[in-house]
Amino acid sequence: MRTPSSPEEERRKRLRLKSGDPEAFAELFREHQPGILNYVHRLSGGNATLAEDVSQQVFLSFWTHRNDYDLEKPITPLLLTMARNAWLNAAKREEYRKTSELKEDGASQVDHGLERKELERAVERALAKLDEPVREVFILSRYHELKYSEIATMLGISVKTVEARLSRGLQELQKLLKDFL
Amino acid sequence: MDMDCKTSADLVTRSLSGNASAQDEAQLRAHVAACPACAGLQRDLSRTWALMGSPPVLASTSPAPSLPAPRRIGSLWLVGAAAAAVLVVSAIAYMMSSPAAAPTPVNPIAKQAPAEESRPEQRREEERVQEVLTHIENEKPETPAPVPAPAPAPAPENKTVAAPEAPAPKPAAPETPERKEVVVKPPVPETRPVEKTAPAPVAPAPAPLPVVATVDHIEGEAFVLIDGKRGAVKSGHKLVAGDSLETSGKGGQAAVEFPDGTRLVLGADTVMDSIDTQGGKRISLKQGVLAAQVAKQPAGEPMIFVTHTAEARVLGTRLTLSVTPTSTRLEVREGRVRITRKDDNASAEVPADQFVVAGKGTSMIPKPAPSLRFALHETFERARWGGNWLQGGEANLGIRLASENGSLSIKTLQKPAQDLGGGKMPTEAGELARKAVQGVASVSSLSRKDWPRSAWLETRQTYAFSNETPLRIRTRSWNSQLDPDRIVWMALNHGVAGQGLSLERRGASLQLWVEGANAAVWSKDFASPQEWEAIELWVSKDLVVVRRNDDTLYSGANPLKIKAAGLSLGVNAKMELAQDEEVRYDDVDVLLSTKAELEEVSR
Repeated sequence: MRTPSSPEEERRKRLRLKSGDPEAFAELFREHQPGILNYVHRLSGGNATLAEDVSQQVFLSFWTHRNDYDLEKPITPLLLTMARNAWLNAAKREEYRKTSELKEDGASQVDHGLERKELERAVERALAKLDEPVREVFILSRYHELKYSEIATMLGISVKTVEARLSRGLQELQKLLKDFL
Repeated sequence: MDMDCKTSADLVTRSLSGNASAQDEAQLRAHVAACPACAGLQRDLSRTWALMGSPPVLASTSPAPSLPAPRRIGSLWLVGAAAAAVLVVSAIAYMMSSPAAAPTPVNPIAKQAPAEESRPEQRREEERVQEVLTHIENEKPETPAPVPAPAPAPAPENKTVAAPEAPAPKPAAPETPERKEVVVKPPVPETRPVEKTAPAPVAPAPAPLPVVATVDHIEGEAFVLIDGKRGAVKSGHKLVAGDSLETSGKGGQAAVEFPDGTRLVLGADTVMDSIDTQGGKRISLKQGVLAAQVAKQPAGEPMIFVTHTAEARVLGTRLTLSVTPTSTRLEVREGRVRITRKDDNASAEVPADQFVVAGKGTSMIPKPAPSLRFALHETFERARWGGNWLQGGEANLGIRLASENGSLSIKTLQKPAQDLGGGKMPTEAGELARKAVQGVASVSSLSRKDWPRSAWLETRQTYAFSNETPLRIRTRSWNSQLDPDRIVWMALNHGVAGQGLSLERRGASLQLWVEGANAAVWSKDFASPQEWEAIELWVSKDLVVVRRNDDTLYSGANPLKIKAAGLSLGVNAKMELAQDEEVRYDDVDVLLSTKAELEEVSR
């Protein structure tokens, strides 16, 4: 989800965000929302409703508190952290569990239908089978391209732990997906 | 360098995830070359990594949330620095006698709970002055608004703050320090620095009174009370301590600027008296509406706004104060403000996003304030909708969509007569030619059938709404019987079946449609459209209201449970659009309203 852009461009973007430019916000949203959405979606084991709500919440909250953030730092880990916290909060609430159950069937039918490839399903299942701490690290590394150090900061664990989990996760996935290799 | 097979998995993972150093990579390569087992592991893990790259991706159905902060005011804060404060004070006209002696006003508003929603008129006026304040600010973005006085010099010469670029030109030589002006014309023992037009009142004051503020922009009529006499005021007029300023008539307006950058805007029929700066700025509002942007005030010298029921002290916050004869409602947007009820000296400190109503027997405990009414205010002005549209493009339509002064227009640049041919336009009636407007957050489209008389505007931005904050879209546009059979005036999520809602005229009726449905949700005969139609669509999660020229035509359940929508507006031209003729689309407003207002219009 990272698009390479020049430091100068990045700096200008940050300034525009700080100053409350709604266009900059829209840009930020377009650029990062799919990533955040999918992060929560995967993190939550496929709860689309929750992912939608949380990602909206993240951006609104980011906008509201944009002046409190150090925008000199990479924005992706910040948004992911916010999403993670929002998810942890939201997941506690009953309402999501209900909608999640409701949505689960509907979503897979509507979104993927019968044509959904076996592989995709297998990938999704395999990911869901990982232990949560391992899955979390895997998602952040694989889909959000965060460095070990960034993941470590975000989750409050050591770089060594990050590496151990990712390595373990990848090996588990390899076993789970061995039919496809 | 040799390496243990046990670390291979970690190293491969590191390499795949982009965390390997050059040294790691080299080490891995060397080891794999010599170790078939680890080569196999590397291959499997790499494939796994690649496979995992294609999990089903959830595509977002939800649009960007509408921004919670008022956009234009937001930019004001950027300019105005943290210390700036905006204040809106309004008061319903009331008896000038003392509050105790005042007979109970007949104003029904006073009898109700003093909820702001019950005072649409006043609310509008508040917004109007607020708007002016914001505009003034926006017009001079390079000047930080609240310039702190460089030195605590006495007011007169402290005229360092540039006057805003108000339409009314200021008298020449605004740079001249006031004191000098006083010295220059000494013959009369003037009590005030006077502009040429105002007759100098001959008051027996021994020393010149210091100028406390300058009137820098006037619309309609404004008067100042000098020694009991009402005199017309012009832009540039200097106010001294004790002065009163009045605006007269519906469109009346006056802006006042203090040396420290604090700025007041008086709305229609507003009376502000006894302006003073001794020991802190002090403004007494007799009646009307007043908006203020208050620069950071010196410690211990808050700016005080006095109404007959309460007093608000401002040190650097943003708040709204609304006054009825029996109560004062204070809503704080930023910082904290202390409000004291005059009756019993009960007071409350109101934090940001909360409000308190100080009236007889009301609770002085702050409560969460409803979201801002003007939280979202899209006026489609200037660059947002500007730019050329399909001009000389592949379709060579030669019409231009322009935006000037808050209204949209389509304009023919050349005679449209021969441009239809050559297969340049879509061949199927109703097929849409879509094209992004250059550099503008909108997409326009038009159909051959309607060409070149209608155009589409679609926002890319989407607006979130709810039952608490309904979306209100209002346009005023040209329509006539000569228009095509079907005109979509407004649409939410245009073209998205099951998610879209459109308000259109088909033949001689006004209809509400769900995109993709087979029948209209609602239809009403609409025999003779006026040439200018003001159409409003209100949408909350549960309700849809259609209004035409301020009459509610329809109010019913929202057939869609959508919570956010992109907007489309249809712009119509007249049947015969001559060369260089324009059709304007005026007064486009998109704003978040309140539940109470929606209830009011849905009745």
